[in-house]
Amino acid sequence: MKLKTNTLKGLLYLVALLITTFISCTKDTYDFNTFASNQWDPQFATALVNGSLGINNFNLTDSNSYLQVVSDSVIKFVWSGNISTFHTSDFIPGFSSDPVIDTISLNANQQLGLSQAAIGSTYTISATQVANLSAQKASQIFIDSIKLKTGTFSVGIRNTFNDLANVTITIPGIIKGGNPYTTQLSIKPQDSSTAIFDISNMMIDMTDSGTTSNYLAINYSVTFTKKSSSTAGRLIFSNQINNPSLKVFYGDVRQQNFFTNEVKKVPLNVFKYKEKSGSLKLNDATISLSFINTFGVPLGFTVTQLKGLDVSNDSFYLNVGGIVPAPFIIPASPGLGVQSNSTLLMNKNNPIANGKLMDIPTFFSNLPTAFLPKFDAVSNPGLPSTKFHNFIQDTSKGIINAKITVPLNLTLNNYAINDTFPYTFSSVQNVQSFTLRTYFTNGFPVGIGAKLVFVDALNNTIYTLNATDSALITPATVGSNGLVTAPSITQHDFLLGGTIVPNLDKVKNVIFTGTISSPGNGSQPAIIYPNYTLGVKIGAKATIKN
Amino acid sequence: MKSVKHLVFISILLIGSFKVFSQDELTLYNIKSLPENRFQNPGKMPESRINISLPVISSTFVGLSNSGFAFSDLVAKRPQDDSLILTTANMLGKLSANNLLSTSFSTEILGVGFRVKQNYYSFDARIKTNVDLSYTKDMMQFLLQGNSAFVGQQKNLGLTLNSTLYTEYGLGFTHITKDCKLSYGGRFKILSGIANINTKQANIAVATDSINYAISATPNVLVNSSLIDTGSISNNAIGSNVFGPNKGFGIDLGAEYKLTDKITLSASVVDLGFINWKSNVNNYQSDPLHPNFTFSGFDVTKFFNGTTVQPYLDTLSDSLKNTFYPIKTNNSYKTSLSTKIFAGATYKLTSGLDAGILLYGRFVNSKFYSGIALSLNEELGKWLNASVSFSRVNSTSNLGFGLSANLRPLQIYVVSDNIFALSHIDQTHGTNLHFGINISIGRVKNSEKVTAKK
Repeated sequence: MKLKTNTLKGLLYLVALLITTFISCTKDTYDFNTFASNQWDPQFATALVNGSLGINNFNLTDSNSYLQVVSDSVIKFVWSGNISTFHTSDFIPGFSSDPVIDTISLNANQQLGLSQAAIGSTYTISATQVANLSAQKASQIFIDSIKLKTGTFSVGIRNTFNDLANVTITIPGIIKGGNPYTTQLSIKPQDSSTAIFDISNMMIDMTDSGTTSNYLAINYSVTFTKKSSSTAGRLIFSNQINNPSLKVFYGDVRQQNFFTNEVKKVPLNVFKYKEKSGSLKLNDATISLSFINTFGVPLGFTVTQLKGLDVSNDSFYLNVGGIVPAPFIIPASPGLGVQSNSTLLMNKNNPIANGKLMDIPTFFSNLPTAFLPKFDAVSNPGLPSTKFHNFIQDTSKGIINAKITVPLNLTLNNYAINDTFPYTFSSVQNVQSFTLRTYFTNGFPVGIGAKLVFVDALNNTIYTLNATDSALITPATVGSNGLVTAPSITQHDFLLGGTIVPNLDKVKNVIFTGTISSPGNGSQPAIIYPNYTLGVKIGAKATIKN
Repeated sequence: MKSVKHLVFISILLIGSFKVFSQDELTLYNIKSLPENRFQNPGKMPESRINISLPVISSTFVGLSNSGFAFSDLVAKRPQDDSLILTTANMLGKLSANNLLSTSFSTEILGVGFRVKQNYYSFDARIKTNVDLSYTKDMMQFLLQGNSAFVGQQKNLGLTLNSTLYTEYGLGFTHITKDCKLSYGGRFKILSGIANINTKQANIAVATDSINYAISATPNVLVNSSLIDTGSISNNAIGSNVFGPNKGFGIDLGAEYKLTDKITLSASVVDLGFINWKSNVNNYQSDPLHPNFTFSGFDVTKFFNGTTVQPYLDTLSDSLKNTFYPIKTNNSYKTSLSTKIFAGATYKLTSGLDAGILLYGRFVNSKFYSGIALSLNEELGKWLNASVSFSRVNSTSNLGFGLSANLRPLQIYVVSDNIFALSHIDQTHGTNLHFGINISIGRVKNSEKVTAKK
């Protein structure tokens, strides 16, 4: 036992010795100025983008367009708006009225009668004259009757006789107070006088008294009061319609042509993301033109050309060349203040132009960013020799509204869309690398491949995020009835490594290119319904520099 | 000797299953010559009739421990050029699910103790500070590796701090029976809190979605603080902090029993008590009206409808602020002392040599930490006492050492639970140092009396 105790004591002293030895000889030092960099690189993960996108979120509409969303029905893109309006001035820009001057001398019997009249007695003669009014239009317009909003009719008479002349002027084509419009002038010898008729708001019959269209008859009754024995002299009549403006026209505007130019550029935002590659086929599309006509003039209407502009402003056409067998007739208004309505529907079945379908869906399959229609219209279609009976009011209008309907029933095969938007990375100087994760829950029956090219101010590529194999977003599963039965889920991780990240602060723009395919690698149609959504979740893991 | 073998065998088993924290003194407990061990067990009768502790020089204790990792676990030299590198993965590999970083310091302002017959009376005034920072491995992993490590999981990022500076005034009493077999005692303490930071709750449950890394965070935070009025310091009124309104009470209880001539058992509970904090109190609590913050990403529709995302950012910022900006109140609060439990046994190998075992437990931040140590304690004549302890700390072995020179009436001592830390501080999970010079008069050896009576 003593030996054991001594051993323990010895152990105690040995430990003490060892402790002393260790303390004195073991030393380690750290020079904190020699810390190597990049030793602490935490990686933080955070969500970036989240949400669900329906078709309405894609900002495809503008003030004239909308998406027609009806439950259980295919979504339709609709552009609706006015593409042309024509007014009275397009038929009758204005009027012209040439002055008419007639000189009346007494015939032999009248000279005899006047010479036999005693001084102070009277002697009466009569005379007629016409005034003219014509429309300012190349084609002759026949005015049967007219009511002017403004206008005066002036009649000037010069008397070169030595006798006093009392003249009664009667216009049988203008009825005032139940009687022909009449006035009197008293003209001294060797004198002249003028009568002004206010003919505004009066119906002027330009066929009365046997005149044909465009002429107004004037009757004069001149009573001389004998002042001398001389019978020499003349009466000079002059007339003119002044400052005429139309209120109501009745007559025949004949056959006039309208709309020889493109009537309007219609922007179609639904197709603004389009690029020129891949194939796309719209399986349906219609153009509906509705006409409102308050002219008492029928119009023969023909679509002569449909022009589209692609993203590069290059043109493509559907040259329809007219509607066979006959132009579309826009009926005349049945009466003053009443409008006629008519609609021309153009779709994949109607109408036939030049013996073949106009094929509106094919035209829109080019996805025009703008649509420029061109029409031809002629008034009073039919046999030119026919006498037409038209009326036009100053307030008459012809309105053409268009409604373009594109059901989102389409077949796409690697169809490309693109867009460029400004984008800058912030705070990337603190990032060593990061991994971008995309996670899509796709309820649309289309698959999307995508390429994001991050470019600098000079469009030099900094980084390309490439997933153009249609796998970025796989299409939803579609049943035999064309309806989506189950959404697809696609997840991708994109690594932006340490060689890329330092250059990301130069990025100014991102060029997005997407390729879209409908099911069956573009062989089957994709029909888009309102309840379809694309769930988007994007997050990133960023490794932070120390 | 068979008993010794059994004791050693059991000790080895226990050491393997305990973690010990070196800021808590284990070596000191069984050094009989030092009256300072009364602070660990007031039931131990001091060997000196009169003990006087002088300000600062008599008893100063400094302890530091980190159960999670050592400095060298986190920082290493790169072999090729000796540059320092952070070895975070290595460090994280060393961490337990819950870890504790502790520092403590205490020094005696004044201490007087004297023995009258079988009773010992004492008065002590000490300044003590403890900083206990509990942290989870998840928290460290979050800081060092980011939340990517937790994708698809919800983690509780716990961080609990209890930091206390207070003055302790203790009246002690110890009684030893006439046969000297049993001694027991206690200390009643009046506490005066100076400063405290206490995280009653400090947990943020963070979940990161496995798909798009959406982050949700639910903070549950209640931090109380009672800090020193710096204005009073500048006005030289520090006394108002030492004897301030933050009153508390504490008690230590202990006993020692000689089972046989060779075997002595002892046990104690110290620092049972609390402090009421009323001075300069601030409470910071997470807003129950905004319990969650979730960021699932910016609304994708905003990118398509042309509207600016700024309103969304503003909303996000408000949500972040509402969730994490705490509500501040000024309600008084109570903190408990970090209660410690000791249970030990010694075996007298020779008349001057004891072998000891000590089981130890401590409540820190509502968790119980336990540990174990073995020791050999030797009286080297009248003048010198030496102890060696062996403890296992955080899966590492620590060698403690204590030395006491009895130069009557002066007693000079130094004790540490991890002596190697003085030369390998970078590799240690903790160490402590307790040193001082006591005035000890009239030494009485309790054990000899028992022997003499027999």
